[in-house]
Amino acid sequence: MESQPSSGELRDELVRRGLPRACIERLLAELDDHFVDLLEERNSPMGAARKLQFEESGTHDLQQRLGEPAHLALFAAEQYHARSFWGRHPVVTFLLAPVPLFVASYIGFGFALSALIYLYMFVMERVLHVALPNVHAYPMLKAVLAGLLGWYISVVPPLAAAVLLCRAYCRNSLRPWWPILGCAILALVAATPEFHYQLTDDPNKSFIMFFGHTFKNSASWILQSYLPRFAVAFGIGILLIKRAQQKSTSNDVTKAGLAIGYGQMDRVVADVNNI
Amino acid sequence: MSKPSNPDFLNGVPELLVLQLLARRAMYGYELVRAIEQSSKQVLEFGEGCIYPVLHRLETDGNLESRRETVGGRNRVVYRVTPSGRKRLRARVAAWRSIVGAVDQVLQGAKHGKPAV
Repeated sequence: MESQPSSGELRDELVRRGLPRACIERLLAELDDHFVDLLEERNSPMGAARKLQFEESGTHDLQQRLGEPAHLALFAAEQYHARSFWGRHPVVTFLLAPVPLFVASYIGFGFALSALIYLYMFVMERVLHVALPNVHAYPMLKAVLAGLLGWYISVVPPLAAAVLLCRAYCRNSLRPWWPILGCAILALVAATPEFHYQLTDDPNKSFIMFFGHTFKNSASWILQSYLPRFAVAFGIGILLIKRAQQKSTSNDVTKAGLAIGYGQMDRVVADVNNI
Repeated sequence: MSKPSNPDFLNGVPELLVLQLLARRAMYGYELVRAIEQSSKQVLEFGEGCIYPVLHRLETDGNLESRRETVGGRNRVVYRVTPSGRKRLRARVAAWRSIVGAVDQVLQGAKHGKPAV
């Protein structure tokens, strides 16, 4: 089969731009096919008018119709590298990363909350010289604070991890079952936390809090406690994925519209519809 | 001078057109380029080879599937839209139409509206 004249140059460009060998070979094979089609078109009687049209516009050369090797290589590399590392390796992102991401999120949000509390205390006591209210005198306030802390620890870290997974999905336009898998793994882990607190009369302590992850091997615990929590966590994940899908579609189409001009593009879509 | 790879064409538009055309029937690359050229009345100019990276990306994303088939006595890679690709196409066309409608409204408002001051 006849191959395009600049095949070697294009191959070198693609290698230089870091495309994998399989991608390069496939692209070159299809370009060779396309080149043969262009040759056949030129030699056919039907191609005469078209040939004349291209000669008039100065683009009679078949290689030029295919595209300059440098431009083609640049575009192919852009399409390939449009995905981030996480997008090119969905198994790592959505199968292996969720649990470490969940742990990292716990650590990150734990430190962030501690830092905020210490900053608040420092500003109030050392900068503004305002005495902090005595929480021990208000058992209801202690209970509300303990409850809020429990929600923060149970909900925010897995939610942040799920948002990051959906962001990776949205940015790399992957198949939707990847983030579904990632969110299911997150929900499996996020459904296990156990949180209890106990108010104390100890003037040095506001409340005693117990927090950890448990998994009991009992059918009643799984049915009554674990499964409902898993369902809620997974449901939130699905909602985030739906939101990411809508955002992804809307962004892509808006960019396309801005790039080409709405009037022209609408005409093109209408013409395509009429084929 | 080489045929320009119109950067506007390369900025997300082909995905919509490729999905729309392939939703009608399965096509190979050359056939698809001719269909785009015909349907756009040559508004969209691009290096024809640029269609393949777009097709490959759409296939990797699960929106297209390809198969080697004999067409007209030659072995060609024929692309067709998957159910996921059809879903994506519907969403993108709907989003496109809503944007066009919104911009049209703004343009009509600018034409008929009275100046604020």
